[in-house]
Amino acid sequence: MLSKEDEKWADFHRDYRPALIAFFLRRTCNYDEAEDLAQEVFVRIASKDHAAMRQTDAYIFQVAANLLRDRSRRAQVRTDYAARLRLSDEFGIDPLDPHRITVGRESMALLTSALAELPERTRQIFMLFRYEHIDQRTIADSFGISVSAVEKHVHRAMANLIKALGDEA
Amino acid sequence: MRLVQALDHNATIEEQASAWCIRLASGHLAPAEQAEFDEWISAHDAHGEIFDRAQVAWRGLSAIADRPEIIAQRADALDALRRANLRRWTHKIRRDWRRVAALAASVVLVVLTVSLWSNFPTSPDAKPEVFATNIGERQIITLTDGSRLTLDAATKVTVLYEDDQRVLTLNDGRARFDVRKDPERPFSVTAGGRTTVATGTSFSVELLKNDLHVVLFEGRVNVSKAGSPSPSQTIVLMPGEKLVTNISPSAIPRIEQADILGAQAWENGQLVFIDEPLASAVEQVNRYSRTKIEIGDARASEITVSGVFNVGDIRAFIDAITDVYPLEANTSSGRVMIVSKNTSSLK
Repeated sequence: MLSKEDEKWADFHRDYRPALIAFFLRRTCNYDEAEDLAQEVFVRIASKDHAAMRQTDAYIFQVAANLLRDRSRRAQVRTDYAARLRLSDEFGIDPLDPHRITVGRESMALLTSALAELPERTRQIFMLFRYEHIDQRTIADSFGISVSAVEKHVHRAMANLIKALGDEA
Repeated sequence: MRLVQALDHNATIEEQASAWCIRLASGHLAPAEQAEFDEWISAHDAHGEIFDRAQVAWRGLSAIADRPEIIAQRADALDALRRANLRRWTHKIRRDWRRVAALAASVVLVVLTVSLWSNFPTSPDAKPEVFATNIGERQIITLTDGSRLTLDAATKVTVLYEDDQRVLTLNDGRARFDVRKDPERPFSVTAGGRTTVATGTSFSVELLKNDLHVVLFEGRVNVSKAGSPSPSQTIVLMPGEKLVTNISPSAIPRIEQADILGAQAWENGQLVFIDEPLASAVEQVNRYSRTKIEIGDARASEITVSGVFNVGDIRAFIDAITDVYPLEANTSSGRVMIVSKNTSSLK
């Protein structure tokens, strides 16, 4: 059985992995490096204290941005020419926009109402997958549908949430 | 496997972004997937933008997880799952029992089972066997007669099988009993000074500090005072009913309609509370946690709470009750004291 902290930590990973990988990937164009950097963010936050897990998004992305800056210095030392070019480029045109990647009060309200508007079965399947961490195979077997049908429900639910957030802009 | 192309080819950009977001959330990408993700996200500016929204949605869902409306929807989803499984399992179990009955060779099976599973010799000097779980642990035990014992966390059950009766004692915690029918050998569970007797049925017994709960899922049970079963004081439970009594011998038990799905939720790693007195909710949550919650004042213990929690998520439980009810939590040296807000401000 996972300890309380382990569980919190697993949740934290699951929540932030997509954001951090995408954040780094688009700035380094190297998946392995993005994985390493994302891992580094987790390590830094873990070594600080676990209270950081309850920190704001802004803090976590600040850690990510700092790491990226450190890395660009290292890259220069290694005269990693291509990466440097890419980086300065990226920093020029795509600065970290906290507005676009942090979860604000307004997004929370939009998500809550978008969930309420989902078709019942789609919402049930999505809730089980996202909140109760029940795997898609188990959900499929329980409801007597295929795994790909479960996936469709999940992605349809997410698509509606994404659209709801988009209407905000 | 081409992840996004494995989707419907008319999947929208939002659905594609969802697929990537969830794939990334669940672990490392395989090399082919990395290339594919690279390709996808740089194919169009809109992809990056919508992906950002996807991950905001993904994380935002955690931020709202404990809102009352979300908790209600989670409970509804778990309910739907349980109902679906119940249908599935009752079919399956019926099928399986028939197959077992058809096996004449089951004699061999039983002999083997006896030697492996139990030290219940059916002789007069039968010895009791003790089954116990630790904090946060659950266990399912099949007894020699095919009856099944499901132990919740921090639970202890003593089993004594004799020729003419099956005598069990719940010493601590909560257990569910799925009893193999055998009219010749009544099956009884004693806890908190009461004995519940069944022949073939399914029920659970829970021992709290001061209270005893018996929930009947199927069949019929009689509950009477332990040691002196007088027919006039014997209570017959019907399926779906719950008996609640204080464990003092003079207490008069009352019968309630049980929340059957909620009463079985612990077997799936969930605790479901519907207007549960805080004291009893806390006692159940504590079965899964080394950090114990205590209630600091009588006012707080009278509050009734509702919600669905993953067992072991003591933090979520504390956050939820202090959010929704006029309570606050003070943590000190490995325990959490819950007090009502007004009381502490009066001090």
